Amino acid sequence: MQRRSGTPLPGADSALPDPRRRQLLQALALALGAPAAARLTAGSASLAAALSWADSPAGAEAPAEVFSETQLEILRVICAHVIPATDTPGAAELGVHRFVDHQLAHVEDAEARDQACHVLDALDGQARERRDTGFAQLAYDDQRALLEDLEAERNGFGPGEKWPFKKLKDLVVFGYCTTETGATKLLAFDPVPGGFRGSIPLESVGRAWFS
Amino acid sequence: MAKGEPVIVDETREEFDVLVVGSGVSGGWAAKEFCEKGFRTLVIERGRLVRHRQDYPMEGVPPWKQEFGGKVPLDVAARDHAVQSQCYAFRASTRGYFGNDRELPYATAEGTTFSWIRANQLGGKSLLWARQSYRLSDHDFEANARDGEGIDWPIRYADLAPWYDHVERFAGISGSREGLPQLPDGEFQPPFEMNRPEQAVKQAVESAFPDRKVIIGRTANLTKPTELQVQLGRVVCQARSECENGCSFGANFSTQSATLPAAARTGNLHIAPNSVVHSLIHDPASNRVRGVRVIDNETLATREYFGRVVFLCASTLGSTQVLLNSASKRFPNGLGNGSGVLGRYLMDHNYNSVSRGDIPGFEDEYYKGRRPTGVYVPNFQYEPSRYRAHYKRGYALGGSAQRGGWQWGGYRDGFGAEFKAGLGRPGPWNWVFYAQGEMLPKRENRVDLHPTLTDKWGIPQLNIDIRWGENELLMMEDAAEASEAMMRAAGIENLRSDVTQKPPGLAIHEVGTARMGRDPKTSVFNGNNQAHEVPNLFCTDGSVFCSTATQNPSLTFMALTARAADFAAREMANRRL
Ligand SMILES: Cc1cc2nc3c(=O)[nH]c(=O)nc-3n(C[C@H](O)[C@H](O)[C@H](O)COP(=O)(O)OP(=O)(O)OC[C@H]3O[C@@H](n4cnc5c(N)ncnc54)[C@H](O)[C@@H]3O)c2cc1C
Repeated sequence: MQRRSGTPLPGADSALPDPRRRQLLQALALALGAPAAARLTAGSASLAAALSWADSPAGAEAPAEVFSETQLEILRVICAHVIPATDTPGAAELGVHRFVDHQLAHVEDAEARDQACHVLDALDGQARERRDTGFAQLAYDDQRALLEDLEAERNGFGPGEKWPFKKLKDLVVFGYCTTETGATKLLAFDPVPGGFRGSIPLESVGRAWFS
Repeated sequence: MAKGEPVIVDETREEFDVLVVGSGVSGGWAAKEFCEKGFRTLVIERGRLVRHRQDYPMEGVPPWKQEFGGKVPLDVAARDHAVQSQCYAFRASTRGYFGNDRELPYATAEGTTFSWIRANQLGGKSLLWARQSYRLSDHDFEANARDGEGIDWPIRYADLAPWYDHVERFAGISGSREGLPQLPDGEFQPPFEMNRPEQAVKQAVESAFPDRKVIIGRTANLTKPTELQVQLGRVVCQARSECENGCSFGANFSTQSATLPAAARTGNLHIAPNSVVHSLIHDPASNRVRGVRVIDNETLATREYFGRVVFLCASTLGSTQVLLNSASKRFPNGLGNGSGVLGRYLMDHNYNSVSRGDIPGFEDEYYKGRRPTGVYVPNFQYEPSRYRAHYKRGYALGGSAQRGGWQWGGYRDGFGAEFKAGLGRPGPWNWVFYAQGEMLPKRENRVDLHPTLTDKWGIPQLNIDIRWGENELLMMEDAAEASEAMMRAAGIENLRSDVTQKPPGLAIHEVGTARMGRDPKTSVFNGNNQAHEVPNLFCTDGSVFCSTATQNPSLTFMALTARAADFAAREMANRRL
């Protein structure tokens, strides 16, 4: 791998508002030399577009396509339990429940949709049985206890609930990790690595790569 | 016209020096070689123009800018891409380069399946390929003669070696020199690095099995561009893994990044896009092809193009379809098909064995970048004395070690901050080996034209009849066992194998159906890729293959094309053509 050192693109800092865009251009300039990088981004419609990325919320305020309002609310609560807000925003705040609904409507099959509805209903049913209230209205710890029972296939939950739940959880994880926040803050996102290195200390990245 | 740009042709009466049908890996090479030799060349391409850099709309688009995180909606896949969506590289960002199956129908014989992957546009499948590039060896060219399957190849390694040098230098292949008899070394740019677990597996496998090697995959990605490559606008690979979305860096080999710019700068390159070749125009008096009949991809209008020499580079099945559809009084069974073997001996590689396992340790190790290649175990059953007793020939293995990540995180147990933090940490290392098995050449595996079904251009549909034989099935079982034995020797745990029966086609290494040979009674083309029966007709894509070997075939298409162009140019200079 050759890495030529180069100067950052002329005017990069003033002309480019988004710091990541600047970062990317600098990475390109470092790898290729500034003139080559400039030529490349000028000639390529998509690279230019990619450089102008901005935050785009995963969940627009579109109406649910698969879930009822109750089911969507349960899923929102699940999102908050699976990936809560910490030093980075959580899945519920980023609208991942709506992304999952949209994904189920278009990218998954009818069986996956039925199973997803089934497991949300099962959680609600258990909540009513135990506390006489809907899952979303339970106290936080009671919600968590139910979810843990579900994953452990106990207290009214079996494999018929566990595996549909895992699928749903998988969609939540996918939805979160493919948001800009998930991909760039929880994970390490490196659009132009500049070459491949087969061995680096994990601690030098400190996180998992997005890919 | 400005030098550096191809001339786009619609209607013309000009007689070109050379017509090249198709603009994929093979056609791009034919265009470059002929243009550089000073011939006015017309590339006839059925699909749309795809311009380097301008027409890569999904390059570098992050997942949060794609509606479904990069996935393709099921209804779209089912409606337009029932076959193409079976390809591992099919996703939202590559969909635009795959064919629309509704527009590209074909038939299959009852009880058989063939998944025909197509990329019908300027650049063909060179925009999608995984760039794995390996030379065939004399063990491959001699296999048929030695074990009695199919017919002998009319060429040997020595015939192709200088042309492998030639195409590797230009295309830019990264790899390591290994000195193996079954996998000749080439003109390599520096190899990509193995990660630590891969190095450990290499050491363990090679000491436990002295006949086996674990090497880094040889790939058409630039690691140390030559001056010529830089001049053509190609730069060093950035390990982005954007190859199949379109690479504006030109770091991977494609028609767009490499052969077309080289051809265009001569001023000799003409391109007729949206020109579906219906058939070849054969003049019985002179016994020459005079040109091609074309149907417009969009308007369905007809037109003709003329040339002194025709190079068919429309992909294995594409070229054979054109030949079959060019039947005449003189050639009632398809142009140049006096032998009756046109359409026969269709083959593909068999990728139906995958083995996985977990690699303990290496917790503090990581890598940087998305390497455009994996590791590779060259075929170790490359001659009859090394065959297993219960089947013939062998397989190569592709593989790699990677750290799992969030992709399977949803299946982990747990909730809350701790679960979330876990997603942000790389998981354990895992290993995968997948087999790339030879398929034997069999007469009954064939294509012909369907008697009644046609496509929207009025061209008879191909009717494909191919199935895996006993040899292929036994080989995959054995490959899974052998993979596990190697993984076990390397301390890999929790081994699991899948031996599947996915239909032929999905390796996308379809070859055969217009094979080359010494004898016009048993082959369609000679050892120079020239039709035995029609001297100014050539075919240099996979249809001329006599056996599959285990190696990915495209590097050999390039070498055969460059060699045949050199031969044809000399024949033209000597006025024999
Ligand atoms: C996902 C994927 C991964 C692959 N990985 C590898 C790999 O790692 N290594 C390897 O060696 N190979 C690989 N391949 C296979 C490789 O892409 C093909 O072998 C190679 O592209 C074939 O070159 P070709 O020029 O013969 O055909 P193509 O590249 O398919 O080009 C044929 C061209 O002819 C045009 N055409 C067809 N019919 C007509 C007609 N009637 N009139 C006018 N034009 C026509 C088509 O539109 C197309 O542009 C891969 C393929 C795919 C899809």
